[in-house]
Amino acid sequence: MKFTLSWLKDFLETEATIDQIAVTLTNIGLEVENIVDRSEVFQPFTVAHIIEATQHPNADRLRVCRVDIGNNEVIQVVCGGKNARTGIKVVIAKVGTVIPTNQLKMKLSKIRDVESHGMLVSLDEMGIGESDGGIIELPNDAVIGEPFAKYLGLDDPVIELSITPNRGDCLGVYGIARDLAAAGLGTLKKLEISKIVGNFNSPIAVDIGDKENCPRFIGRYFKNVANIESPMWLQNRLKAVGNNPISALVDITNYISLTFGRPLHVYDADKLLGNISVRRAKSEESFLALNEKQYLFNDSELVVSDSNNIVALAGIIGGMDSAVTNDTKNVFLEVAYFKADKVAADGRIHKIDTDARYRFERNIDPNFMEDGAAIASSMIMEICGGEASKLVEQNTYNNVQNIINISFEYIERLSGIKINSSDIIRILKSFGFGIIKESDNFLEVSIPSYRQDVTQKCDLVEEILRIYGYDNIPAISINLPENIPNRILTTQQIKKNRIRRILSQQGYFETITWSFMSKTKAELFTSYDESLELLNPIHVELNYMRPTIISNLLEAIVKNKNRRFESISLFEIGPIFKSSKPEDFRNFVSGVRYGKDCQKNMFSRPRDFDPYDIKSDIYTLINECGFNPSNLIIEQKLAPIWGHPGKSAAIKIGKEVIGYFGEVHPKITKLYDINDRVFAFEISVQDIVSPKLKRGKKPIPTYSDFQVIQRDFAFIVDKEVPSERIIKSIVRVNNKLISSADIFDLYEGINIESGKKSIAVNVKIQSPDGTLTDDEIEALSREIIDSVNKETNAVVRSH
Amino acid sequence: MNLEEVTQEKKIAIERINSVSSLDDLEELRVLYLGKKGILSSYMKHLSTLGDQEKKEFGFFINQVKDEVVSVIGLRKELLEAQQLQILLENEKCDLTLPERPSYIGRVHPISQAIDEITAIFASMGFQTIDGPEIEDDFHNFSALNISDMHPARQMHDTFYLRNKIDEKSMLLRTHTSTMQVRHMENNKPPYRVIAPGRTYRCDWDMTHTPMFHQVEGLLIDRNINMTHLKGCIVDFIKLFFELDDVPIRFRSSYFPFTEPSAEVDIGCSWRGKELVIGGKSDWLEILGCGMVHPNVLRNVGVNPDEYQGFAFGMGIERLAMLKYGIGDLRTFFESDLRWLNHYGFAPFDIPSLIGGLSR
Repeated sequence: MKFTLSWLKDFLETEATIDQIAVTLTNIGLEVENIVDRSEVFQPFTVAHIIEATQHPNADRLRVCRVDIGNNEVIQVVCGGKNARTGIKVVIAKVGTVIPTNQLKMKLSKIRDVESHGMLVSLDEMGIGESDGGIIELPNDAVIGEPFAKYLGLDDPVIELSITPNRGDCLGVYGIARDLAAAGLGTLKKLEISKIVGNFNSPIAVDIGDKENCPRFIGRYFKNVANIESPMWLQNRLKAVGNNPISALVDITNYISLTFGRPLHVYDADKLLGNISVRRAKSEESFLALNEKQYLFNDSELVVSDSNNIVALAGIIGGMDSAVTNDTKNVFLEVAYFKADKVAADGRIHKIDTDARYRFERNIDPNFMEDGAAIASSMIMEICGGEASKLVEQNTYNNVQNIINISFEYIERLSGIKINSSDIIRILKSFGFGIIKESDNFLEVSIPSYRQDVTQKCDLVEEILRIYGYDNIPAISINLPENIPNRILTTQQIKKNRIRRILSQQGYFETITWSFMSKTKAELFTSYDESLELLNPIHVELNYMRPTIISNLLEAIVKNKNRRFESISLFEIGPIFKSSKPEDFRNFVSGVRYGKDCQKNMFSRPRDFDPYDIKSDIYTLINECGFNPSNLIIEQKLAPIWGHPGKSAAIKIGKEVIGYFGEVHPKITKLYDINDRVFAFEISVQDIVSPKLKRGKKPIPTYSDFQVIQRDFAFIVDKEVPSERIIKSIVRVNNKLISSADIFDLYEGINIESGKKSIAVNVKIQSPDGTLTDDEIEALSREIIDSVNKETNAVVRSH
Repeated sequence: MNLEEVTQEKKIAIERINSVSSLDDLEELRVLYLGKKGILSSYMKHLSTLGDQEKKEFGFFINQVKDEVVSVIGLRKELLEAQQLQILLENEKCDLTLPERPSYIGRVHPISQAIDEITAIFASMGFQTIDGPEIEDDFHNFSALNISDMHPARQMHDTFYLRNKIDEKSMLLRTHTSTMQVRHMENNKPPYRVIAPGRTYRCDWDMTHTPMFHQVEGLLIDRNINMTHLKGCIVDFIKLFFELDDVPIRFRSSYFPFTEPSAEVDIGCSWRGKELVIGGKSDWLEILGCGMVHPNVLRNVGVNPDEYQGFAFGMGIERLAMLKYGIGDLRTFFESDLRWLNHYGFAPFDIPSLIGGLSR
């Protein structure tokens, strides 16, 4: 909402400065976004008089002007403006002034061998309009040597407010003046509205078909008007707030909309056929709107129609065919009350945003219709001449005054402060609220029709407080609750935090990427699910709720690879989506590693990352979540779609797949332009089984002080046999005596039959009860060999 | 064999021992003199040929000699070992100005860090942290929060919608974290004291907007909570978060459908050249919206507004992080630029707490 200071002062008697006004507006909830005072910028540009303009000797299009710039100073200026001529008042930019649009400083110059001591400026050079090849011409009474801005109404500061959607009443300057007066910044001037009676009956009658959505409609016919250009003051005000003047009739409706928040419409009466009705559109009806777009209706929109055609989409936009033009002689004025929800719904369906819709949607004052009609009538007749008809009206509006009962105790309970009842009453009255009844502890308050946002007692408290001042409410620290929570975070949040910090400790960088991705890319990772598709994506590449994080991480690798990073480790913790049901999301942690494990250094040769790096990361993070990773099951048969078929696997806890890891399929990395190996994992954080809460307690330890014996075994086994099975079959032999079994070597090649591999295992044996004898150890070793043989057909490698 | 010969032999032995220069040679001498078949042992064997009195004297003497030889060998050994260690140490000397063995450590994203900081502060006031779904229905995102179907506030939200409806209901991406206060109140009985950080989505993308961003919602509902507590809680939070004792804070009237009265909160800031500094009053920066929870919202979740009331607030985490950590451009949060992550990210052990300080 934009307006100028003088506009505001038409309604507010005040001595306050612009700064005081701005601070007050912001404090009472009418947030000032911007104040532009152009008079400062235009200060150095002054009024001048062309004493004589003669043809430039060397250029057809240029004129040499002798210009009076005041103080008895006459200078020579070369000018290319096509309207530059003897006798007119113009605007001079003297040597040294800076042109606002291009920041160029005027210099003494020679133009085609003729000296020029400045420039006569145009509207577009000043950034205030289109010049059409001409320079600015000022009225004849402009005083030479004075700043020119006031002659074009440019010395009026423009204030821009951000009005919250509840305050439809402040979408007009008058409403803003009312709020400022309530805030003690002046007095609201009384509106003097002269009612025009009209001396003939309108030839156009009005009929409302949909009384629910249009409870009231006032019309008036004007004959023999001249739709001339608006007077300067009106044009200047509209321009100042960014509204292009069009013609007097249109400008008047815009002015009343901006001043009183009361949208109006004018039809060229000669283009209307028969009477006006407000009704629902029929399907297949269409109309060409003022924005030059054709709209096809369903059978639901609220429209204004003549006896043949739709002439307006009610409260939103008028039609081209009935629009007023410069030739309009007879007009029909519409002052209607369209219901906010209907206007909002129709505007939304057809995606039309107009000032009228904006205001109707935020509730116009249903009791400002006669006044609106009267003000418009006076202005039309004053500017355009002509005669006004009597009003035509249909009215089913049930004007019930909203009443709210509020106790002083409630005001104190909500605000926490005690405010004098006299202050409360004063504030409410200053907004125009009526005090119907008043007792020691109660008020009965009537709500004016322009404040449809005030419906409950809490709304009244806000009205009181925003004038009383939020600054006057003390800040009191809250006490701890009666039951202090023993945990602030949920189990999942705790796990996520641990994972985040352990992975960054492992060398990963945490990133955050969009929760959406490209549908096409998503199909590389999972099967398509249409419920995950967005209706209105912000970009075609972001049209699908991600079923995986890995894709976004691959894109992040590409970006960093292009920045010449040779080693990239990234992870993200965030949601992935299974379907569009709210509960169907999972918190995932996903990580990728690309490139070398280290930089060139003197201790070790940099090597490529491999799946075992990822496996180690996973085991560390699972362990950090309180789950013993040796209980994880790695199943290569269940490789992920995105995985290299031989180098990726599912991670399971019991029967539940909790995630995947391994090398990303080369065909995918190629599609992402990586063309190099990438290793990745994804794990569902909530599926990592949480240990039972132990509240800090640990089991009593059992250590054995007896000797640990180590035995190494080398088994030859089929290549396809998962090595984990060897370990499990060893431990199974006697988990009391065998404290660990670890693979320390894998060998294939010379001396090993093809299709076989040799796996070396180190087994630690320790009894809790005593030192084992050689015989016992021998027996155990044989049992181990038998068990492995039985499970995997492995034989002990002979040396 | 007499005492004199033994004394002579001892003298030779001591001389030889004291002149050896290696531990191996010393060991050879030890065996030669003290070994089972050594010289001194052979003297002992000689004892059997002597009479009682002689045997006693001679035996005593031999033992004395033996002790003396043992002691000399011990001293020599200590000396030689010390010399050997000295040589070893000299040979092992290395250049410790060479680089350390490389180790790699990553960084935590500033958004995560900010959430941890915010959580720590509100934890100190007894707020628990909750979370909730990001794909929502219309009810939890709008209707329950007193935003009716045709309310203009719906348009301000630039909502992302999913293509398909579920049970005739439009599904959408939550436009604010307030959805979680609704779900929390639906599923629990008052009093409520929670914060809800998380991702939020709006269909807007330019210099100062990203289609996804983060908010944290706060909710405190009890029997005796009023606007003075709202102000107290917010003021305490701002001071703790920015780690400044006096930040100018301004509450100004505003509007949110789900709170009444509502306020927006600005903090005072000033410019040091191009750098924005928190504090001072030359400029105001909006950092959060808040208000007393609207009675309609409480009614919508079955809480009696005549019995319970309280406040809610919502703030943009990126905004807070930018101000606190000096990040200039919103869009950089989501660009996965390793240089940026390394610069603005936090070390794994920078775990914010009020005990150890929120930040370094």
